[in-house]
Amino acid sequence: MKTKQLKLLVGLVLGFASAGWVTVVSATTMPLRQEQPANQDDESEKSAKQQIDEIIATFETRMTEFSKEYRSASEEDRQKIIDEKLPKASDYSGRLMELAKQHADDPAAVDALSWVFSRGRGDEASNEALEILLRDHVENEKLKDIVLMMSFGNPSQKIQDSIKRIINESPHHSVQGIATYGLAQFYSRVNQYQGLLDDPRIANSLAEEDLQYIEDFKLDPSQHEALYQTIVDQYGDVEYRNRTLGKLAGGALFEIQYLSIGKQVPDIEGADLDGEAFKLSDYRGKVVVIDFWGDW
Amino acid sequence: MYPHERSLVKQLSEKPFALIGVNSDSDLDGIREIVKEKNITWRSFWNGPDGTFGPISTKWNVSGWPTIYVVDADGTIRYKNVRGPKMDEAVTTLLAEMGHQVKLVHEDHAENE
Repeated sequence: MKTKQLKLLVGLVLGFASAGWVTVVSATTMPLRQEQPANQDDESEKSAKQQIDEIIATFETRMTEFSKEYRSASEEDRQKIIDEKLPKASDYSGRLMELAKQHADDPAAVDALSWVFSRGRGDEASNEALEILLRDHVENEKLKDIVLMMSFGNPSQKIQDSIKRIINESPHHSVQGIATYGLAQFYSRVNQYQGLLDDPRIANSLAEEDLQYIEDFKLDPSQHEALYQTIVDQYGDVEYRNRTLGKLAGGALFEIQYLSIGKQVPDIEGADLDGEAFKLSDYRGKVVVIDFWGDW
Repeated sequence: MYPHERSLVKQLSEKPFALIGVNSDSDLDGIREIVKEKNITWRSFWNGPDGTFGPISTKWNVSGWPTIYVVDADGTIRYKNVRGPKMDEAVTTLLAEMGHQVKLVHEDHAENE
């Protein structure tokens, strides 16, 4: 089981899609490890931006090296490679936070804070970075790169409030749109967590107050649907990673309207792994478990 | 996952039950090998060469794997994202509605894997 979880974590690191909650569980199984901090020579002569870019680039280089090595390693060696080579964001975030605080007015500070927030995934530095971003940079357009990420971690009142604050206070149409989509996704995620609280691995990974927040959360499905409709209507043209919010929110609307419990299942027409065509409706009259799976 | 699902499929082979996968691996040859190697005994749609961005998962707005739906004999969606013992419970409940009483017993750890 442990190996499988780590594999899923690595899958995410390597850029595969993954159920976020699985990653949360996986993160707790990662061994703690110390690594030498990034090279700090001659830093007094470099601009804040240069220093920040270099630290981030060092991390990315090590991550690329790790991915390459991991992919070409045999199944047995992979655990060792994870233990020894997977770079840890926490080894880099301290220095980045320092730079962001020293150069609070430099635009590069936002890059450093965004990196610490998104790579730290809920660790202490990550929370602090988010606080500073909201306090000092809530009007910055770069927040569009991280606001959706805010909905990926463990749900909490704090995350909900932070997303709402960005929606209300950002002057940028694109940031407002992505934040609104982030809020709708966040609500889906809380609903998803409510169904997973029986799993002790999930429940134990949550702080007491977050657990309480999730248990108490209630949202009328029609309001949730309306929120996605708002995104399609008002922010449909906003682009996020080569897709429009219209398309992303449209997918979520389809799920609510046609794939909720109690709805008639839409048919699937396709081909099996041997290329033979078939339909989901061929199995009408039977109890059917539909499992979207992948071997990664 | 695989041992539990294999066990489910085997025990319900005489019942009105089907496990249908939607495989979201981009490499079709690779996944055919996996199916043999890991003894995946149930049928799957292939989501196409775009993997997790393929047409079926995109239409169904799937963003996490595995995503699971349980549908009754009339084609009504009854459960979502149930795994392990909860999947067993869902399936036995729906089969009981059709008059099939079943008790699922899995070998060691199969249901947690």
